Amino acid sequence: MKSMTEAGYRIFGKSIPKRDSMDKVLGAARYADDLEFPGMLYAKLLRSKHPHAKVLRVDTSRAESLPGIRAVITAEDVPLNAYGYNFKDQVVFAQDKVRYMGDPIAAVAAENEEIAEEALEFIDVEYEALPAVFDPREALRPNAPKVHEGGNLCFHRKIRFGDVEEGLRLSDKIIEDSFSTGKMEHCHLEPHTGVAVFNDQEGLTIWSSWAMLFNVHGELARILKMPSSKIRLIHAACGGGFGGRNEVSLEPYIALLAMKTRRPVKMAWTREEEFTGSTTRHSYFLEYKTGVKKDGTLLSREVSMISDNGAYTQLGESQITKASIFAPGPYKIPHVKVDGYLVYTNNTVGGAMRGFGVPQVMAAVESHMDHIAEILGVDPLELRLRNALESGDRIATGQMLHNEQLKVTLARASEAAGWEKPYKKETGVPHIKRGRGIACMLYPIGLTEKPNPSAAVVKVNPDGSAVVLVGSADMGQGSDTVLSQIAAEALGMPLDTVALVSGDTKITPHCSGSVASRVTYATGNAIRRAADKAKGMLFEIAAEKLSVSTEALEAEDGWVSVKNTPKKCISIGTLAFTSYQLNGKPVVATAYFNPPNTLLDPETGQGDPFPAYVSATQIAEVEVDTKTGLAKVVRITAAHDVGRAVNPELVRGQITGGILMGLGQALTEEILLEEGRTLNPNFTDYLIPTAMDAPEIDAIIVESDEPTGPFGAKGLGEATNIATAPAIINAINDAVGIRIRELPATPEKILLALRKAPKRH
Amino acid sequence: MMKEDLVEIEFTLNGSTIKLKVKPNETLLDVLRHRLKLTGAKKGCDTGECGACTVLMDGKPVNSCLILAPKANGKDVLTIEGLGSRDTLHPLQEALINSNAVQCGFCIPGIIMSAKALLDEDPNPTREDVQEAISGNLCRCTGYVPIIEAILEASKKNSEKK
Amino acid sequence: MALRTIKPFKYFQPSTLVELLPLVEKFGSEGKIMAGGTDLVVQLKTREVPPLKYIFDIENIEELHYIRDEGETLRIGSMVKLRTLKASPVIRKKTFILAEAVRSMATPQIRTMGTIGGNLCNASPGADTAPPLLSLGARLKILSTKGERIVPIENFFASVKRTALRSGELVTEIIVPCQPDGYGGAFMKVGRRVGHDISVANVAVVVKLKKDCVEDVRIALGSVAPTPMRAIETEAFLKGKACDQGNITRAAEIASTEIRPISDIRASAEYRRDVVKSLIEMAIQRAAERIRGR
Repeated sequence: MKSMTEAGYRIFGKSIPKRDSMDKVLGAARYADDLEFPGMLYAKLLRSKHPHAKVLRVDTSRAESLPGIRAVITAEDVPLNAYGYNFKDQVVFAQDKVRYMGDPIAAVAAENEEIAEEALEFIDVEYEALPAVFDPREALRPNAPKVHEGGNLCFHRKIRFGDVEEGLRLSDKIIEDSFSTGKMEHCHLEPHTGVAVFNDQEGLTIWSSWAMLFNVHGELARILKMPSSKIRLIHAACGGGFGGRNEVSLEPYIALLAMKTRRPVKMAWTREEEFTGSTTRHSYFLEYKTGVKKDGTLLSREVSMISDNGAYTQLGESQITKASIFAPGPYKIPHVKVDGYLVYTNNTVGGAMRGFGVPQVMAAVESHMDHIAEILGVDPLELRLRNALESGDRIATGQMLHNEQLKVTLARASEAAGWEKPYKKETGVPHIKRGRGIACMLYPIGLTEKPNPSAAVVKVNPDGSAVVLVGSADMGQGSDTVLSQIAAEALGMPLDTVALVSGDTKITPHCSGSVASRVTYATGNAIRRAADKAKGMLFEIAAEKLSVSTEALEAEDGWVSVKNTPKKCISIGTLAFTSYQLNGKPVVATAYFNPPNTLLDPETGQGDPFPAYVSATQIAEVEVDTKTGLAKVVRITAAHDVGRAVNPELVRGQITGGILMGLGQALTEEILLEEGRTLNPNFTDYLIPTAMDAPEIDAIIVESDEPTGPFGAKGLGEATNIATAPAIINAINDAVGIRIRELPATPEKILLALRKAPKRH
Repeated sequence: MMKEDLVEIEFTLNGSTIKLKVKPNETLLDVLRHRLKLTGAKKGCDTGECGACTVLMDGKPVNSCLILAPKANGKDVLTIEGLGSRDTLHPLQEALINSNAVQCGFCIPGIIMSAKALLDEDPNPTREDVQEAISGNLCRCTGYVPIIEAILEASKKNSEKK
Repeated sequence: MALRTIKPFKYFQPSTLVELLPLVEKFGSEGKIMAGGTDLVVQLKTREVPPLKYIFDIENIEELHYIRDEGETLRIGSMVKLRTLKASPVIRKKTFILAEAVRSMATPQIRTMGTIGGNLCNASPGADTAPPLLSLGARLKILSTKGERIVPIENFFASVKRTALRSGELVTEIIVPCQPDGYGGAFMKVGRRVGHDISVANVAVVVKLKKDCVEDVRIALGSVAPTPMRAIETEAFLKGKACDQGNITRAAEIASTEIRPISDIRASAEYRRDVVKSLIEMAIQRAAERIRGR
């Protein structure tokens, strides 16, 4: 297999410095809160005081008459008070009912923040509290309070592959396990912030940051009953997404207030609102039952899981679908049955968070695999190698995999971590024990069960420089840079002559989102196609001028030349000038790419849900203090299959970042809710890892050519935070013989489990 | 707000003396961002827990969101805007760019200030020293490792210069 | 805990105690003294402290910024920053467990502004400076227009976030007996992650051994009762006993019955009781080692 440099790529595959780093280190990057407009007002939201209640009356008159208040709006002011990704069951403002404590009831725009806040206290709301439900298992009971009229079972995903009863009959051992994972929050450092400006000439313009720019754009047009061409969303510098910026959040409020006041309106959510009012990662209850042969061959796996969706659907059923597909783990299993239940409760709304259900199921299944290995007396690596999916194998939806690298990642990670070598559990301090754990994972590229195209426009200017327009918003991960690299490589131009504009619904073509690890793949492919078209126009002219066929030409570094005869060449500038100024044909090309997928059968879950998959193995080394229960992650070795790495340093940045997020999932992060109230809506008590928690990380990029990806690339934005938690949980078990089945594995849980466990030695 | 309730303060900001009338109930972060249009320091939590608002006061890192504006009186304040420029980057800024350690960048101005305070005091920190120095700066994108490496790299370059 | 902007107040920044005290006397009931602000500003934003009419910022009162070495006693001005304590050679040398505690606290940013006086007057049950000062037998100098009084630290904490300070009073100095010769000390804390965290439980021990027998011992605990506390019964048990594993374990047992931990979102009472035992054992052992090591 050719390495990038062997294959001769000059820009693709290189760790080019990100385009936006300079601005960011100078403090010059403009995030939404850095934007100010003359006459700008500040907006605040009044949120529900009850997790479930009828709203009998909302009286804003006292607030409206306060000095400095310019507008107050409620449900009555919303042209179409409904939105949602698949089911339009969420409201801009609660109308007759509130369903969770973050549910917005009114919004105010004021001359300053202080007055806006004050005014909220002058809005009178009469509630009639309703019985509420907070445990999704309770919510499924017949007499549970109904969050929505249709009942609390929002969606049920079924996967049926083979016959699990048959599988169990053939098994030598049957192992069952129950797990749970906690509700988590993205904690992107930049809170949701946006500014809206409205005038009759240009319509509505909003500066904020979104991962699914065009989704929000469409929803907003529907909510406002305006043509979407009169609404412009401009993606400002973005302080992180991780799935927390996929859906409508503050846009309708600032839009309506800007339209009512004819003044710019800014809204910035507080960190507290990020926990109480923005979307969260679903918590899960999972039951596993696996049938296995003595030698470790998996025969049957049955999974039943309940996902707490909170008050509104958002992306819930796509999320449980994805979780259900990967719940069996990255293994060849002839008989699989998965039931994924998405349930409404009166808790904070579950949305999308990096991995979309898969971090939860993988935490469970990879811990379960380790348990199986223990019972069988088999090495956990061996058990995985025996059953790992390979090219030609089918996953539980029946889809056949190609270019599957899971075994390569298992081999590379275990070799780098010295898995085969003897390992000391003693650390020199008697009460601190060391342990190692391994976990692997499979994750797809592209949205679940939906067409999800990306389009690209490539313009080559008469001087030979190029502008690329894409809808894909850079969330901070560097997609602008990566896509520029792909464009420059595809066009055969120097990188610094390629400009890229992204994330503007008026100017850039559609993109289904910087989500689902799809940007490099889908938008990269769109760019490639558009670049090929543009290049085609240039090659036609060059072929004539050089008296060769277009097949004999190649483009590199700003020149089109005859292959193997570099002296026969013309500059791209000359060709572009010729095309536009002499031949009257501007070099503008448009293309799109839609990752192929099929719907899953509603009864059996059979189908081909994704065009490509990435896999990974992570090995964690932890030290557990048996007197306090504190687990310290010392080292993580991670091998990630990415296809071809467009920018290796940025790939590594995803690995290190994802690992720390997985570390939080494993050890410290959980939104604590009591009767619908968030008890820890701050960083003091919702603990994300700090620099002191960072382990040593050995990041290994496993490369291969993905035939369907741009220059062989796939993606990895989410994959990096999926194998980490189970690797850590398995390592803790290795260290002290305790398997924590309820994440996060806090020191308290570990210590109290140690106390209850039979003595080891 | 009555005019007489404003407090007059004088302090050094990025090397220049500034005289301002401030409201006592606004924070230094608010003054920097809204009054002085220095938006490099960010509001990530407003309660001193995330460090995105970190600036240096008399050479030491502080959460500007916890400093009521009048407290800045008589102090020497340094923000990210006062550190380097496009043509003369501080070694920390250069190292972060070159190693591609910057992702969304929201934490970066604060981290740079904390790291600068560290290097000014200890030009040869260990990895643990760096971890401690930026322990008050949360980052969700990078996992810290590339940033720690960049800071160590910058400290080596700094020492080489001397 | 909705986050709010801070409502306007009248701000005073006196430069001397003479300027400050009459202000606090007159307006103290409707205002608060602000030291570093790292607790107060947050509390104003969360409205844990309701809007104030006055704030008296004592940052620039030079008279409160000092560390005086008087041989067997250190006098620490209440405005001394945690950062200064952490870096101070005399604190390290003479009241090592205080340095040990400060090193484990908060973040560099908080330590720059936070003060020892502020940490004590905020009176969180888990305040990290409290156990070392309790075990060293510190006293607090409290000043008002009416004069000065000295309060032993064990009488200073009234209940959760409440102190013995009356209206119009402020703490000006912490009088700390230096850890005497022949004593060893240790401070330890438990948090929820490897990175810095609020203490779920903390302990400070000073111990004197004579032929490996406990001649004197003082054990102070935090986060396991409404206020930082001395483990009096545990101390009584240990005095005169051999400093061996058996007695240390027994002592830890007794301590776990003396404390009154609660279950909160940070930890359960059960966990606190358990982990306190380990903390005490480890702290006593470490303190003893430090004597023997000399």
